[in-house]
Amino acid sequence: MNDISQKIPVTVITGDLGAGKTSLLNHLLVNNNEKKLAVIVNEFGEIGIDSDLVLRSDEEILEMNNGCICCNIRGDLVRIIENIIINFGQTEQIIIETTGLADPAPIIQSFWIEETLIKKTKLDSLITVVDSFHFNKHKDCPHVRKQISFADVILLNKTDLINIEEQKNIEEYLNILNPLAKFIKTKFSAPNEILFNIGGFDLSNALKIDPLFLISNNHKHSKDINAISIKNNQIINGDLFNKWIYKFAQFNGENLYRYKGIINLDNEPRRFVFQGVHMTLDGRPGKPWEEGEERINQVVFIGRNLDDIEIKSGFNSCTI
Amino acid sequence: MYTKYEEYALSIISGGESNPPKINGKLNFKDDWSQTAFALAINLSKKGFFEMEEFRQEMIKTIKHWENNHSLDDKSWNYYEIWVSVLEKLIYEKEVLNRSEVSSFFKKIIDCKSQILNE
Repeated sequence: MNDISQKIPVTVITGDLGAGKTSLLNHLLVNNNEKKLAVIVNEFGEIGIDSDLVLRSDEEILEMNNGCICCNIRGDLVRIIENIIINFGQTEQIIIETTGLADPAPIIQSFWIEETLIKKTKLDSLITVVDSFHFNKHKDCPHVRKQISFADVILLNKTDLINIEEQKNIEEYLNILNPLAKFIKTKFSAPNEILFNIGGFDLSNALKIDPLFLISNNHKHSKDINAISIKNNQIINGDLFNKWIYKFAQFNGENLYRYKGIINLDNEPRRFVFQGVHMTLDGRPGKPWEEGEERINQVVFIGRNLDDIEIKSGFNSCTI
Repeated sequence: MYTKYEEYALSIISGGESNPPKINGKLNFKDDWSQTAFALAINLSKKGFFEMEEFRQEMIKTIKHWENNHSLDDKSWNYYEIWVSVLEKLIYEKEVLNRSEVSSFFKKIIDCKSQILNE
């Protein structure tokens, strides 16, 4: 295993057409003077980078005079990233834009399965850009709802075009679809906050899941996508949990979007942290519990038509 | 998925410059003291005194230092002597024991090792 500090962080950006992804990428490339970015997109011509900033360009790669690069995603993502690592060693952050992909899951899973990506990169977060202004028109689109449910960060764009009440309603709605995501409000896709080092896929340093964890599952406005949350102080049997979660992920993989947990496994000195996307699952010991600290299990499953009773009884069957 | 810390720790330390000696994929300890030192490091890490990645980075540094100061065919190479020196360093740095406790503790391990070598 390589030193994790040498791995290039990767951010995946998704969102519906017209939500503002391209503007966001343009903003990140042009206004960022700190990090050397490599942006992977369908067609870099669409990002509209000012030609004065372009150093050189070929079919596949456009180099900017601030050290950033743009790559066209022709075929294999692994090959493109290998090319970036070999030929653009100064790259400090990779951003992948998923235009045309309703389901960001295959990209996320690649970072857990492909050996080169595991060795050389670390997935940081998935950011979904949401068009606040047209939200009511698109909120029932299955692919929009899926992109929202996968997100670590939801960029609520075009907030200058809606009022505070509408913003609040959208946030409440989105929170039910995805209680794990952080919200950032933007106008013209220009966030004031830094979108890097979110740690959405890095549970090794996590002490808890999220303070907004305590949403009631009774408020189920969502027709298809739902979130199931579990919080208790039981001790979980490691062998039973291992068997249950793998079986559950295997049988329900298609409907499981993202799931994360920090649990007290076998009353060991360290937390056990796990996360998954569809059937792909990762789990390992995390941060140590403090002496005298109350050990609380916190688990969230987000997916399609998840059975609240099945999940809770399955998890509870693993208690010691 | 690593539900057991010991397996997780082994996955961190294996597969690179810090890879412990193995025979047919299984850990190989020539002596009891090396097995003790191995278990001690894993347990201290499990309890949170240091992260296994930190231990691994120290192993890599120390191995490189040894290689820079010895020829390739130097028969005095012993992986677990390096392991003990890294463990000693971290036990002291992380204040698991104070300096005199560290010295006396590792003297016991080294005496145990010497006894075995002299047998």
